[in-house]
Amino acid sequence: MNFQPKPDGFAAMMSVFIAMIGAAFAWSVSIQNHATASSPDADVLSIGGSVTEIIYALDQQHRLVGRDTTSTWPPEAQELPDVGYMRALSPEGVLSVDPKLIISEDGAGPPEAMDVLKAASVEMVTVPDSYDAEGILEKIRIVGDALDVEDRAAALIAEVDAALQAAQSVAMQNGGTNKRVMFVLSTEGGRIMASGTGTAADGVIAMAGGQNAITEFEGYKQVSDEAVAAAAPDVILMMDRGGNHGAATEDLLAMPAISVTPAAEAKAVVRMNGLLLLGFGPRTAEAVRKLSAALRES
Amino acid sequence: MVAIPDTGRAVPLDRLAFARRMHVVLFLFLVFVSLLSLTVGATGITPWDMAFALLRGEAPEAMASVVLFDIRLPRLIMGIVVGAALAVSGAVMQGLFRNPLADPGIIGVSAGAGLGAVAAIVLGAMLPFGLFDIFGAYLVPIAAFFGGWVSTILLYRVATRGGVTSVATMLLAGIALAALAGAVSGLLIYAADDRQLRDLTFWGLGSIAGASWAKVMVAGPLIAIAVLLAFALARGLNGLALGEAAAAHIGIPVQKMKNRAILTVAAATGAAVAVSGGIGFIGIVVPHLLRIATGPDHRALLINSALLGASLLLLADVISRVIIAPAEMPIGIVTAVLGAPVFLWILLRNRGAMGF
Amino acid sequence: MLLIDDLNVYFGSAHVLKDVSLTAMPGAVTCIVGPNGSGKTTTLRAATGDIAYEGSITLNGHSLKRLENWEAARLRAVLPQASTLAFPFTVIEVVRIGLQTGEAGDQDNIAIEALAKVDLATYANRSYHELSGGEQQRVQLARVLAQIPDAKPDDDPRWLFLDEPVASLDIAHQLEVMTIARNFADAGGGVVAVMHDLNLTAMFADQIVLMSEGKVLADGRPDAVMTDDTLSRAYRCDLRVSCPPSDNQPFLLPHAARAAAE
Repeated sequence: MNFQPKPDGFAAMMSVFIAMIGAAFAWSVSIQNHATASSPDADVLSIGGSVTEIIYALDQQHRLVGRDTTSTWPPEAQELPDVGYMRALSPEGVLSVDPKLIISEDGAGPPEAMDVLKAASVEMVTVPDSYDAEGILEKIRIVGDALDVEDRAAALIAEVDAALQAAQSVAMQNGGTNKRVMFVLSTEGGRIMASGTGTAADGVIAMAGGQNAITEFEGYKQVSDEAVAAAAPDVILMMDRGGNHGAATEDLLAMPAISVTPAAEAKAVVRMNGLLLLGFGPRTAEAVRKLSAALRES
Repeated sequence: MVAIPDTGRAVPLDRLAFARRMHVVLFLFLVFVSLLSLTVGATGITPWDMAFALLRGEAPEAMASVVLFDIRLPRLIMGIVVGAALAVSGAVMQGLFRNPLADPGIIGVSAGAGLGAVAAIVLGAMLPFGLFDIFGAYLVPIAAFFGGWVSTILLYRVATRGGVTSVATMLLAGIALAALAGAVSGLLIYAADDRQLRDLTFWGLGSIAGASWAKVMVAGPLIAIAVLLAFALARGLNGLALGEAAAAHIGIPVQKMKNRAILTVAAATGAAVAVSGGIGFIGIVVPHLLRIATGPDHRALLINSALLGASLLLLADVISRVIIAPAEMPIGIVTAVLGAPVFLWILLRNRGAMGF
Repeated sequence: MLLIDDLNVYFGSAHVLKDVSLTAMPGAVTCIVGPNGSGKTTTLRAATGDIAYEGSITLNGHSLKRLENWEAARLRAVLPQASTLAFPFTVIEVVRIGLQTGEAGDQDNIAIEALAKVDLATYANRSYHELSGGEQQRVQLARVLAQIPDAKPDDDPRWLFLDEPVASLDIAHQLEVMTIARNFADAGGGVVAVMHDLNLTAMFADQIVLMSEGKVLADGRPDAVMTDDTLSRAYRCDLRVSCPPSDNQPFLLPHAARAAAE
């Protein structure tokens, strides 16, 4: 066989490339006209589920131009453009929704993106996390300040404060339940990722009158099977992922590490919506009530 | 092919000349994709808007300046530089190991860089506060670059005895090193918390979104110099295709060539991985495509690889920026989705011609 | 002149070459012959700089140990016994690789002429991997000839080191290749070839070095070295020179083929 240099093959490849470029171009042109602001005042980007909830609770949603992936409540929020995961923001993506102000939970990144946004004169307000009742009130105050609605914020603070106190006093009746609770973030690949101290899960468990079964470390980390057995939780708390719980619970309790715990014996597994449970926003009082009731029952 | 009757000779087809003409074609392609990269973006701002504004004598919008000069332009340069680095490194490694399946990471750079990044992400918070402040956002790239070098030097030492580097030993030792790095990474991952794990995942998927002028100023010249030095290896790599002994017989300084190849690839790939994370396929697919289309002569292959690698990475970047706007898809996903089918197509179509 | 003096080579603890000395003159074809394991190829490999050795080897007066790769490449070209090619080069591209160093620079004519000398001119654009073993060997020879196209471009004779150059070739091409070597020597160059085939050696060699068990057993003109006694001792086999078979079995000598062409 004589060699022919495959110019036809290369031409084919080049036309594929050019077609791809054309497609990319067309795509880009088509998405240019997305995200028309919902109202002329809209100039705020909200990052973090609890921040978005607070903005809606303050009735300022008309000022939103976009949100991040974790902002799932209220359901209307999901109609806003999604700029992605908060620690991997794309600077141009953020700029494309045209915000003048970004109100964000702690930890937005990457730093280069944040620098570019500052250079583009976008104002940034960070709302720190603190996993207790005071923390929630402080969040509301900061957001209200940033949006120039201090009066509404004060009213909301009073409302939320009252709700939280009521929920906590119910939870702490008779000194709390003293149930040992282990929050499991995921069991992906047979590895149990649980919450230690200093997390939202730890905070809400305490507020609901329970005890975090795992106190040896901070943050969400993978725990060994023996650590789980030693922790001996009475209740396992998880986020509600939707779908068929029955099967998932069976699988969970069948895991060797978990099957020896008191929780498995009592089949005590509590599931709650992630943002509701861990968001530390205006609905936390509801979360505390539900959780403490669930703990008492199980 | 033509036989000239009186001499009975054929006119040899010059794949090299064809490949050299491809330099122009690929350069134009790169220019085109660069313009595309500057024009396309989630904000809909184009350089033409800015150019027209300037022509009308108006000051350009502040946001347009930021988007074009602080976001798209450094990203464009980074994309060109990283794409070229990965593709040329792949071609050089394939030539050095005489195997078309070698990728730039084969000398341990990727394993070490990955380990450096994991260590920086997981342990970074434990550094004394002053140190952390100095490095700040650059802790991960610096650690990755450092990790890449350490592992390359380690492999080189293991494989070199009496002044002679055995590429076969390097290959096998590289496998062992990758396993070791994987084990240590695994330990660190086990100790990581949720937030760090997400950061690790994103790093592993690769992105040139973090392209800042600071990164471009450091990585750009380094990679450019390494790639230019690599071009000079072309004749040596051609000779090496005959085997190391034959290469020495035709006058190639084999050990010097190996040293230089390893050095340039470690620098280029190390810097590329440090600033952009784990981007795959460019290093293998680009040189392969070019060998099939224009022949394996390295004198043209290396330059064409640089041009095509840069173009394809930029193209992948454009796609990653528009496909789920305003969010962004990590570029490693795009190169994998585009690269894997192309790679399979290459293999299936050319089984006989490639000599295996 | 290739001067090998007291060459000793060790592979690990095995003493493979023992005090080997030989001289090859330019303008002559020197063939190194001997049974398997006698050290022929090892001697050649030492002379081409592939292995470490003790003793002295000088080429055109230069000590081999002090020559850089590129300096040696200008003086001599090496045809290995077997070659691999890692990538899908075409025949002409392989020959051009030989052009890249050596004195010829990038002149394509030399590549084409080299291919013509090995009777592969029409194969220029074929993929190397599609050729038969013998054809590939001839392409390698063309590559070698492209590296050193002139036997004596200046006062220094150039050299061809050939390791079993005709091993996988048919008889016509065997004669062709040996004729190329002969012509090179006639033009003033030096040729050192390791050979298995004693008939071809007898036809073309000016000097034969017979080796056995790592030592030089005999060294001199063909009629002096190729005696019954010497050969039988070396090959450990009862051999008789210039003796046609006693029954009516057909036999074919390359000498005869050459006579027909003339």
